[in-house]
Amino acid sequence: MSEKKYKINIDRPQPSKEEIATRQDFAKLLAAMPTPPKPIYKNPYFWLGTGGGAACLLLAFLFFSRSPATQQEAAKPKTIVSQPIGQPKPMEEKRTMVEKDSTRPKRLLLTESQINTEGTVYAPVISTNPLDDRESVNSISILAFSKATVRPKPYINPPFPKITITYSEYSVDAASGKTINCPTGTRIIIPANAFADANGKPLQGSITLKYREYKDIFECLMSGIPMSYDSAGKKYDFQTAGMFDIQATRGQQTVAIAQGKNIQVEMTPRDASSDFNFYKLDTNGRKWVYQSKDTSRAWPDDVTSIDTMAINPIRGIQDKIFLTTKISRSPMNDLKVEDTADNIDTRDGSSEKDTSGNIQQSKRVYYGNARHVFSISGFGIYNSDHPCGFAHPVTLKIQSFQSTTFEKLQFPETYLIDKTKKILHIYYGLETRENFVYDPTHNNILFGILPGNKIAILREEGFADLPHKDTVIPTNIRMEVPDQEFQTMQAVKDYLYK
Amino acid sequence: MHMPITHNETKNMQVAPRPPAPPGPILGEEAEIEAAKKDNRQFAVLYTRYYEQVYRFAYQRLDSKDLAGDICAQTFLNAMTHLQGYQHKGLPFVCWLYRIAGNELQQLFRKNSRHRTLNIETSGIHAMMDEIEVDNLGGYHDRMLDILPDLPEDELQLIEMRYFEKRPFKEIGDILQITENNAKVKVYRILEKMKKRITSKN
Repeated sequence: MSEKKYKINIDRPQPSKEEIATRQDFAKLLAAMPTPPKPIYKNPYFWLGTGGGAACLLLAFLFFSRSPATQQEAAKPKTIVSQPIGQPKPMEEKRTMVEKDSTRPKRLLLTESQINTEGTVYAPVISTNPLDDRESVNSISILAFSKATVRPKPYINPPFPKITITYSEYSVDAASGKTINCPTGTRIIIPANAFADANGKPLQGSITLKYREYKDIFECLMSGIPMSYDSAGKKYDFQTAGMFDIQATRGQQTVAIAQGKNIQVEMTPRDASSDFNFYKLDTNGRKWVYQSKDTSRAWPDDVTSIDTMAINPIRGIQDKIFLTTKISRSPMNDLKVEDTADNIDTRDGSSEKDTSGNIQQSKRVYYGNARHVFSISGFGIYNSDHPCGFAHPVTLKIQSFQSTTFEKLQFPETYLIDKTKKILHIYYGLETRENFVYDPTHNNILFGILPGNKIAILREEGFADLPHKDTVIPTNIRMEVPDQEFQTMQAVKDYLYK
Repeated sequence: MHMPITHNETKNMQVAPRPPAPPGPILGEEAEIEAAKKDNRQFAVLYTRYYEQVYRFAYQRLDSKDLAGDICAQTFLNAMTHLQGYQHKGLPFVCWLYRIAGNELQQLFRKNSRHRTLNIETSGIHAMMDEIEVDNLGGYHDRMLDILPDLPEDELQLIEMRYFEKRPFKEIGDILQITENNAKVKVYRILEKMKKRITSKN
């Protein structure tokens, strides 16, 4: 017999109407109402302080507007320059003179583009001169920023900084170029003399090429790379077909791609459909930049080895065959290839059952030969995606995140994975509370990272408890918090997708 | 030993009149709320109308009438204090009061969980047995009583509202801010879970 958590009464008599009525006492309730605070303008000290302040300002104005030195200074031209102010200085106040009617920055607002990924803050600063120390009613004060006061969040911010996909490194002779076949199936074709230094001067000798890729939504999540795209002021989430990060170095020196040269990256996709675009990540601008339309393709010599496959080449293409294929299960549990693609779950054909030789071959060819081909003229992070919105968005206000034992939980970011659409949505800070959007018709999981590499998660079943219509009534979200520290990528994946 | 109860008898129990039945749709309640926002004394109408319902809601979860009275008083005090922020969104005003009372009760249980009491009505137990279609009522009745206190608080609340307070799903949904359908699905899932536990013990 389990230990009882509650006192249990069976068929307890209910109190009568009259008995309850005797407890009513509205007068007492009214008396207990806290009196509303007096409006501030009814306080005599408010008027005393306001009047005194106004008088001081008036006196100061009269005094300085007659000062000849001030008038001379006001006649001097002022310059406004932009300079990095990321030096770790103690906070100090600099007073500078600015003409009253000039277009001076009244408030120092930093846009995202002013905060670059290295954490240095760029902000307009008014030049100083020895006369600036004088006070004037026309002067403005700008607090010099230091790293201690402004700490921008890195743009690429992995949820588990110590658990990320590492680069594969390849040595390339710059003079001869190289074709690299990566273990992931991706092929990188580097032409001869493709490298240059920061000044554009061609480089010779051995270059280290670093490459890593993120093929699914989980790997994108672990990369910490934002997966949202702003199009005409509207924010979309990326549905990815694959993302890669390619860099090159020579010793400590950064290497660029030589002018007029392109490196070709042929990535084996999880999704071979052709409705994706190709984007490059602009880390300084903190946004994805559209490059071109992306297509998956294969070459004729590749396709000849799988001629038994039901591959439908797009008509009109002479030298290359564009594949728009889909692998799915037939009712007989065989694998087959179809015209369009958006849902491929398996990569390794050897684990499949009941497949004939042809079918196995077709599967192998699909992953081996259908590729997304990208021609890049600069190193960086690239993505094959298409932006998606929520099909049936429901907007909620979140009051708090709680554990199942009602402890409050706080995370800097909250991650929503739409498993149906394979989209990752990251909510930053207050955005989670104020404007949390999800699609109730899809399978979702929501989680945040707690100190000590722990995860708090709301699983698919938990979403049934959330409102399924827009509401401004604050919602509490109760999350499961296992007492487990996650140390490996596989452990995180197993836990999130179990 | 409990006598077996037929299906018809159980259905009759389910439709038995509920003690705290609200007096039907209230015309002009919005106007009353607006008036109370302007003048606290106008809140008396709402207080008198809903006092009994809120009191019974609190007492259902407690063992002491005085404590239920305190919770009820605190509920109305909070409601009056925050009435300016209340916006009528089509839900009955009393649901808002139930939610405040629920929060007050949660606070109380957090301070002292011994106050939490489970007041079970035999008719409610029989209705549940009927829903989960177990016919051996006498044999399963005691197991049901064993299992009920083990339910998590949120599940227990649903069962309590449905079977011991005999609230319709619509009202449960309004109180818990979920849809009527969702309330129904949740209750039946809990019953399903309970059935598994009861029969597995068998």
